[in-house]
Amino acid sequence: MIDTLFIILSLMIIFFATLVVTLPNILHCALALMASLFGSAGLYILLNAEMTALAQVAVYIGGVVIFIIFAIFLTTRMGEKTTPSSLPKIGWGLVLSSFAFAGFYGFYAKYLNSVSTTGYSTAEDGSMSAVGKILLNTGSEGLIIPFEIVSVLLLMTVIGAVVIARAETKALNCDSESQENI
Amino acid sequence: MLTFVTPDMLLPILALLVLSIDLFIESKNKTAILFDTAAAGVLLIIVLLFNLPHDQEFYYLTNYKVDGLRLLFKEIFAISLFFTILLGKGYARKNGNWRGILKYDSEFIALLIFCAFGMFCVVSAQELITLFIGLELATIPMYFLTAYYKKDQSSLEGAMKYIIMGSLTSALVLLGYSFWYGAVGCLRYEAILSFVQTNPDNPMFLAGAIFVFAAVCFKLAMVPFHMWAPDVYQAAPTPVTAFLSVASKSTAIAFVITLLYGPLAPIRHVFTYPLGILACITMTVGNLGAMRQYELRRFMAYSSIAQAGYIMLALVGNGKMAVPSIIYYLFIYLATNFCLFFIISVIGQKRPEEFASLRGLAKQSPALAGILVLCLFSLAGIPPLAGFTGKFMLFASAAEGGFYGLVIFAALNSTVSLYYYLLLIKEAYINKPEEDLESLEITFTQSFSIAILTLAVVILGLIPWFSSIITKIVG
Amino acid sequence: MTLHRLLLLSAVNFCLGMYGMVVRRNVICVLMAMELMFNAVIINFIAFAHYGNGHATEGSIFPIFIIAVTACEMAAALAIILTMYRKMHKLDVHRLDSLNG
Repeated sequence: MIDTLFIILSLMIIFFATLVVTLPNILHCALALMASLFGSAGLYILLNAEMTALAQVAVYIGGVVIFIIFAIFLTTRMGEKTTPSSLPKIGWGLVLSSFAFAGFYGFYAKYLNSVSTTGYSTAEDGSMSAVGKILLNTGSEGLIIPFEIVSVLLLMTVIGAVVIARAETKALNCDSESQENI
Repeated sequence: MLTFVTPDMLLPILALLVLSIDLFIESKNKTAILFDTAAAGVLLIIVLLFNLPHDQEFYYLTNYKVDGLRLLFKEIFAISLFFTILLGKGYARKNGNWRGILKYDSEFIALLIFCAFGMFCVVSAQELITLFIGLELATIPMYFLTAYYKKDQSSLEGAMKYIIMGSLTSALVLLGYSFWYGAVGCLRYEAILSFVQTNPDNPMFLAGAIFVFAAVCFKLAMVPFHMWAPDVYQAAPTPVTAFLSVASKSTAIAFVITLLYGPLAPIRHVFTYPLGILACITMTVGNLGAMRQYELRRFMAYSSIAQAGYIMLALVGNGKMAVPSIIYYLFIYLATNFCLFFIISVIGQKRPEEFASLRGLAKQSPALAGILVLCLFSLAGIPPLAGFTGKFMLFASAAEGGFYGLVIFAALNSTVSLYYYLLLIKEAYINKPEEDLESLEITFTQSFSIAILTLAVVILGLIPWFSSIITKIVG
Repeated sequence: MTLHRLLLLSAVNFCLGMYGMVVRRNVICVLMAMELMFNAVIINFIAFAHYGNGHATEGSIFPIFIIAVTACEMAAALAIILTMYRKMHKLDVHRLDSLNG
């Protein structure tokens, strides 16, 4: 049962990931990305990491991909195709990525036994309560410091993104001489 | 015991303070108030850092380490933040720079301060998550800051290139961490250290380390991943370029040192030799690239690529001298580079920041031209300036491990670099300007900073106690 | 479902991401290819967390941080993309050539 699910999910992930890098229409790419990420979320549930699966659906799919789709709507016209890449580029990309894959494949075939794979995580390990207990723990087990720092990171991103993305109106730059209005 | 982390905690508070001053205070010269408050705050943090005892180890919540080595790095970051804010002040006023006024001052300062906070986290991290988040927090603000001249197409393009390169770097570094996690089963430094002690040649772990060091080469702009640096340095506003060339480089170096002298210490010798070879190639490429430049910020990019090569060479010796010599050189590099960038900012007020704009500087302002010569000679490593002492210590540290070939190669490189530093001096002293030049204005902040930095460039090399203190703390 | 197969799945994702980064010309497409690479890393972490005999919960916490950081990186990238589009009306990475590099 689990093996069948795994095969279905991994085929789904790979199929949609391929679509992401090949489709000419950007919006379709974004939707394929969404599907691929959904497949991975399913995989995480199979692997007993339900909190990660939740974050994947809520933040990654619900946040990042939606954000990408917004950006696509703001920067492309409906149905517009991206300019296809030149053949040498495609060849170069194919060579590079297949070499990288061959590297990974050879490495895993030869050296994966150097990793001990005896343990299996239980549903407990990836559950929300286990994750929460570690994230908010101030002891030696705890990861509260990165948890706090990531909030600073998010705040910083909001400030920076607003500054960069805001459109400048005439009212704002009263002190300027040669600024054009966007 | 909280005093050990007070400077770190004050940084985000200072950023929020600056933002709220912008929000609540209505004043004619708000820009000056913002920059002065931020500079005063950072000065306070620097004083606090220097006052902490450098000979103790302290763990905050068991996962955030503060000791002498980390305090020294934090001092480097805080001092460069201080001078970046002072440098930025000149760009936020009218006629501050030919590229236009730097707007959104409070956000500019806040982003810089958050960036410094990320750097603090990188050095103090005791597990991989804090290390990763800190590195990102030290990088993502730089994307925004590079794009700060929103009207300037090249600024946006540089930021875009930087973002693509930076995200690729974080993907690589994460792949490396995932391999480490797979091998070790834990993300903490002590667990990694004890794992490495028992299995020094675990292939999974070594493969992860290769990815992590490839990512560091990106951050340090080492060959073969150096191509982004000149573009980004040229695109960014000059204060940001200065911060990138000093603080970001120091962060990457701190990242390498905290890893190599922390969890990876038992297998350090595996990495030092390849890093030394890469360092030699890097300094050659940087030197060759710098010869063909005519844009000052691009020139500084290649020059700092070469300087990163010299710094990384010290690690190859693998001896007691390596870390103290690197930190000592970083202090000198900070003073010299910021001094040069202040001079560039004075020149760039009305003219583009190019070699040709230096013409006639010796006539217009002999003092400034003299300081330019001092700084360039210090970068090239001419005695008795600070750069010479620093470079001498770096090379001595490499020689400690018996790598005389690499040291001779680096010394030759250093001689070659004198050629292109002399090109700048030739522009300032010999070449005549084509038309009459407008007179240079120097604000109080600029002359004050230039004076302090020049003093540092001259005396840091002459007084022996500075390097001996660093050696005592770290060695 | 073995560790080996999961790692290979993640390697396929990573290499597809690399291919996309080299080949795609639109900046947003390049960023989506980058997302595939990050996703591959997350799969790696979860696989190691499940099969390794280490600290499993830490392995499922790191991906959550990765997701948060990716969101930040994307926000930065898309803010710059929006401004760039307003300014230049093109988003072609192969034509980012106003800097002579």
